[in-house]
This record gives sequence, C-alpha cells and structure tokens, in this order.
Amino acid sequence: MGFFSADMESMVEIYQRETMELLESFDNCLLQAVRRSRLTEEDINAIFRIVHTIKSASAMMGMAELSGCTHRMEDLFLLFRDVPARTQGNEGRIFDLLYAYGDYVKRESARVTQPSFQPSAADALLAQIVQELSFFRETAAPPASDHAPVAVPAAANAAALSAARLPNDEQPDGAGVGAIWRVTFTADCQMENVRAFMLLKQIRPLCQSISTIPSALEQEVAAAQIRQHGLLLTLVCDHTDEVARRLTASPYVLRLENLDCAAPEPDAPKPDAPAEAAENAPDKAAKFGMISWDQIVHLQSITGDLVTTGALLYEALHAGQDAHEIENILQTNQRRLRILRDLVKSLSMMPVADIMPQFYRTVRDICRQENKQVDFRVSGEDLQVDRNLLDLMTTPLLHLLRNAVDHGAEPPEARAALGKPPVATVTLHAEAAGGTLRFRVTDDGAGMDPDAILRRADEKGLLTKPAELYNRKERLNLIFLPGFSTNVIVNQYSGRGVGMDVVLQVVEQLGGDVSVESAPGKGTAVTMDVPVSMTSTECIRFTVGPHICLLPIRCVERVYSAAQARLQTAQGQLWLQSDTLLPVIDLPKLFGLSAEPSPRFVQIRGLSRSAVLLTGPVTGGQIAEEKPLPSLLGHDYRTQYGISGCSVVGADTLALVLNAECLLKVFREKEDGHVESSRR
Amino acid sequence: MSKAAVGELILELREGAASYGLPAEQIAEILPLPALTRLPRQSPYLLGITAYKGSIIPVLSLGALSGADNAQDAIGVICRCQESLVCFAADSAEQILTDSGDYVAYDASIMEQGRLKLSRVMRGDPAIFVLDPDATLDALLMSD
Repeated sequence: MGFFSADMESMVEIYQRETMELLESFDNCLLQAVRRSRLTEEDINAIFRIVHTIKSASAMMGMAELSGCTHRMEDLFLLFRDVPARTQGNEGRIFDLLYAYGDYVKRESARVTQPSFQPSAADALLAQIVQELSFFRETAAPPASDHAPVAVPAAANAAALSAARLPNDEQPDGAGVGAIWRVTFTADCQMENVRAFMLLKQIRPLCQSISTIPSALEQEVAAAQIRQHGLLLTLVCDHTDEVARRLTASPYVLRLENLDCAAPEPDAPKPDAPAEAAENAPDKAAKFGMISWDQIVHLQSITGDLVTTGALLYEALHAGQDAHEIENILQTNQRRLRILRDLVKSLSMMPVADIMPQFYRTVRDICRQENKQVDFRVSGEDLQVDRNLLDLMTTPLLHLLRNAVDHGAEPPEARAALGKPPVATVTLHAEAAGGTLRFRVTDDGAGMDPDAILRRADEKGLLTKPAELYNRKERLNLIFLPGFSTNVIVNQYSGRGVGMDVVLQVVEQLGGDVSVESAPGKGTAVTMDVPVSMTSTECIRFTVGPHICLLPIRCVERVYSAAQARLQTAQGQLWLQSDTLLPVIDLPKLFGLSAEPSPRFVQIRGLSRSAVLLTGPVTGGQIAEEKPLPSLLGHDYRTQYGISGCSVVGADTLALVLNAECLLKVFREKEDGHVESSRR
Repeated sequence: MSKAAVGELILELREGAASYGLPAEQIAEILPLPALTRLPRQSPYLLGITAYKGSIIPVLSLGALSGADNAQDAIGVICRCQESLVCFAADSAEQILTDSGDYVAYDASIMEQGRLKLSRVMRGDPAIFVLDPDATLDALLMSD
C-alpha cells in the first residue's frame, strides 16, 4: 500500500516538480553564498522563503519528517533574518547544514513518486539542525551594524520568540491557546505600524495576552520593520479561529502565517523504515524544465502555421496547381519548420552554470576531508549548452575535479615546501567554437610523470606494445585505461582506476575526444572536446570522391574555388594564403582516394586554429540530423578521419558529417608526428 | 565453445558454397540487401553502412568475414548483437531449422572461420557453421 492517500496521489508529481524547482533556487543561492564565503540578507531571505514553502508543501503531503526538519530550518533562518550578523564567522557550519538539508530533501523528493515510497528517518539531520539552533540562540549576537537598515533588535526579538514559542507539552492549563503568527501587509499598504495598531485593537478583546514584534508600534521605524519582516504576533486566546478570521478579513492584510506548526510528536509512531537506504535512491531525480508562456504561445503559433501550410499543400496537390505554386508552399513550410526546430532547440538549452553547484560542493568536501586548500575558479559558465549533453558531461567533469583535488593538489605544507602558494588552484573552463564544446580542467598540483605511468601500466599488464614504443602522449593517455590507477591508497574519491575510464567512455560515446597534458610538479590539464549539438545542424554539403560530406556551417569561414585559392607548398605541406597562411588538409588523401579533379577549398575555424579543407565540389546546404556511426567502427575511426556521424540526405543516401575540431586535431597530430620523428 | 541449445531455431544462410547459421532469436528482419554507403578506408569485410529504422548500422559480408571471396551478398539479415543492430549480408536465406544436437566434434581450428566466431557446427550437407554473433562482433571491435 502506498504512503500517500488516494486523494493525494494526484498531487505527488506536482509536489515533486515544485520541490525540485525550489531546490534549484536553493542550490543557486547556496552556491553564490559559498563563492562569497558569506550569507547576505538576500541569501537569508531567499533561503527562508524556500524552506518555508517546502515546509508547507511537505506538511500538506503528510511528510512529517521532512516538514519537521524544515520547520526547524525555518526557525534557524528566522534567527538569521532577525540578525543577519549572526552568520558572520559561522559560515562553514551553516553551509554544512544547508548541504545536509538540501541532500535530504533532494533524496526524499526524488523518491516520492515511487510506488514503494516511505519517508526516510531524519533523526540525524534533525539533531544537527537542533544543535545549530542551540548554538546560534546561545551565541551572543554581534552589535547591530550602522549599515544595517531597520534591523529588529536582536535580543528583544530572540527573547520574545523563545518565550512565545510554546512546545506542545507546555500548553498553559486552562489559559487559552498560544499562537504565533506573522501578518504580512500588502505592498501598497503604507503606515504599516498604524495598520498593525488597528489590528491589535480588533483582536485584543479576544486575547488573554498579546505581544508584537516590533513592540513599539508608535514609532515610525516600526513601519519599515513590519514592511521587511512582517508583524509577529504572539498571543494566548480561547478562540484562535475567530482571531484569525478577524485578522485575515482586515484591509491591507495580504497573508497570515502560523509560525508554530506542529513538530513531530516524540511518541508518534514512526513509519516503517523504508526498504531501500537513502543511497539506493535513483541517481537522477525526475527532470523538469521551465518553459515560459511566451515560448508556449510561440509554439502554438508556429504549429498553427504549419497546419495551415499543410492544408494549403493538400489543396494545391488536389487542385492540380502548378509545380511553382507547390514549390512556394513547400518553401514556406520549410521556413516554418526551421523556426519550429530552432524554438524546440532553444527549449533544451541551459547554461553551464546550472551544473556548477555540485562541483563546488565536491571540491569543498574533498578539501575538508583531506585538509587541502583549493581556490576553485570557473569560467565560461554562461555558455548555453544542450541540456542532454550537459547532463552527460556532469559525471566526467566530477571525476576530473575529484582527481584534480585528490591527486593533483598537494596539502598546504607540501606546497609551501615546494615554494608554491599554500592554496592550490583548480580551474574549470568551458567554451564553444566551430561546432565543438570544450571543457578543460586544470590544476597547479603535483602533475604526472609519463614514465611512472608507463611503469605502472606495465605492472598491471595493460601495455599492448613494447614499452619503449610509447611516446610521451601515449604514456599519458594510459591513464584512461580501465583499471589504471597510480594511487597506492584507495579512498572514497579515487584510486580504483575507474574514473578516467568513465571520462573517456562518456566522451567517446558523444563522438568527442579527451586529451591530457601534464608535467611533474607543474600540474595537469585535461581537455574534453565534444560536438556542440546533439540535434539538427545547418551544414554545407560537398563531395570527396564518392562520399557526400556535410560540415556544420558555423565552423565554415569561406569557400574558395581553385582559381581563387592562392596556394603554395612548403616542406611537403600545401598552404593557402588568406589573411594568414593556412595549412591545407587534403581530404581525398586522408580518405585514401585519388586526387580531386575539381577541387574546392573550405576554410574552417576550430577552437584555437583555422585550416583549409581540400574537397570536391560544394553542392549546397543541408540540415543534418546527425546520427552516430556504428560502434563497430571504434572511436579511433572517428578521430582518425574527422567523421563525427552520418545524416540521411536522400531516400537511400547517407552523408558523412565531419567535425572541424577533429580534422584540425588530425592535422596537428600529423604535425607533431613530423616534429617528433625529426627530433629522433 | 558456447552453450548449444538443443531445440534452438537456426536460420540457415548460404554464402558461396558454405552454409552458416544464425540464432533465430537474435534476428530482427531479413530483407533484400539494403542501399549501402561506403566509408573511407573501411575494412574489407564491411560492405558499408545503411539507415535502418532511424539508426545507422554496419553491413558485414559473411563471405568476407569467413575469408571467402566469391560472395554474392544479395540479402541482409538484421541481427541484434548485444545492444546494437548489425546486418549480415549473405547470398540467400535457405530455411529455418531446429538444432537437433547433432554436432561435428569440437575442434578449435574450425571454431573460427576467418573473423567469424562460431558456437558450433551442425552436421549436414553441407555442415552448418552456426555463428556466435556477439562473440564475432566483440572480436571485430577488439581487433579494430
């Protein structure tokens, strides 16, 4: 039998979706606070609002454990709201608590739609929150800052709240019912202190006792305090319903909140322990995206237009209209389909920043565990990327960051002994150009010794050719082999030799490439390049011998005919004179074909360099719906020939979709090979 | 030798003078050899790639895989191998028969025919070399 009653089951998905949205805001808020190493008033207010909403929603769903914990979090943040300065110097413990709370809520809300859902026990989390509550209540509040606008006097506020909050087992006998409410006035209210005074006048006859925060309503400053924090009412009365009715019926009252929600009864029977532990919760929660009304309206509009052109086409065909008219309708249809495609594509884009919170958390956790200090810097997080792609890249990035901190960064004492700053630097950089998305994780730590890697791989029997035949790059790439690890000690973060293998696997599955540069004592840089879009791409179309090829138009700068191309040969390499001298990549030669009788020269741009492709005739443009090549061909095939996938271009015809960055890399490796062999 | 299942249905294919068998439970479809797109520098046993129900799948010549060079390759048999689809091209599909358990004695030298990995050889005239499609694909992936 499910946890939720039949009438609540329809609400579960809505609850999950809304909680996930709230948690996203929670994560972003926490991330900003962690980056700043302090909590601002805006952060505190935002987190307070979020936990308050989660509390209410969870209570409504009957999730007593979650709402109880959240109620206590709300208490804590009420303390912080009253005196934000309390958080100063205590950010570390507050962030720890927020992370623990966020994890618990995420786990619970991820599981909530499972038929077998039962709430998890939250004793440990609750104990942690209560401990922090005690700490902050006992901690003397720092003096109110001159800059703090309209801060409610901390001591009076805390004492009033503590006194007013009546635990369930301390109800006064026969003396009415205690209640703690917050009254929020409308934004256009003005003279909130006067409104509050009028409210008190209405309800005072019904109450045995009543007190307010702020207490001095006659003072003008009270208006601003009420505007910011609401009017806190603590009262004892016989008829709370009537009091509440009068309050909510008063003009300018926007909201009446009961701050004294029931906490879980100590003796209340706990639900049966859930069969699965928290760690068995699914790795990914149900994913929801946000679509604005503008986007929905646009979608509706374009769908309507497509229905119209479809009807026109039908009519034209049946009326026997001429080919020219039908062609016009088809072109209109194509235009509208492109708009629809772009709109749908935009719905699936999200900024790289959205996956950052977990990275900060990971770096922080490892640093605390291993007593390291790391300055974690991120750039390019505004980049908009396909959501699916970003989801898939999250795991490899986590692996790389763990490695950078666990393996790379040295402890502060060790760094000082090496003459390095005690704080290590780990960077994550994201950029996109030429149809390729690049992530690069660097550290200034211990670096890797290619010879040590080779020896380790040899010990583990991972070499596929004699050791002396491995060049420097190949030695470093051995770290991607399954089961490879130079760690003598396995810890919770690394050492099992599975992290880099996963990185390679994910990147290859996306049709991308990963490379590593490192030097002992100087740090490591791991670069992952993957195709930007997993959906349709506008391409130019050309032939190379019998092959039809497509190249994303965003990486094409110019096309030259044979007559226009100013070519020269140097050291066996063909070059094209443009603004600079660009190397020519001979595609027929790369594909093992004879020379092209009618060559064209397609200038391409990658992330860090440009080149020119020697191709056959350019036959026009095409939208490529790229599909991956069969896995039988292997990853090396893609990287050797710069082919990232295929696209259907006719009834029985497939075209090869080329990747500019891959082709540039092929050329670069050929260059490096020439340099290395000339060195030998 | 992988487990032989007496009673398993086997599709007999002809390729030149030889007969090959494919486990029927792994077969998705039999069709005329589809339109092929060749790839640059592709391996000799790969006839090309083709679009099949939204995916791009490789078309492998049984004859070329077995080392024969007189294959006609007129039909394609779409096989489910591990988590992907592969098309084996053959001259013709002969019949579906039931594995009676009557095998040619195991001999390691005949369990590999060129690049093909076999699970067993059923007695017949000619003998039917029953493919292990998963092992064959694994071996091709490892070698390439």
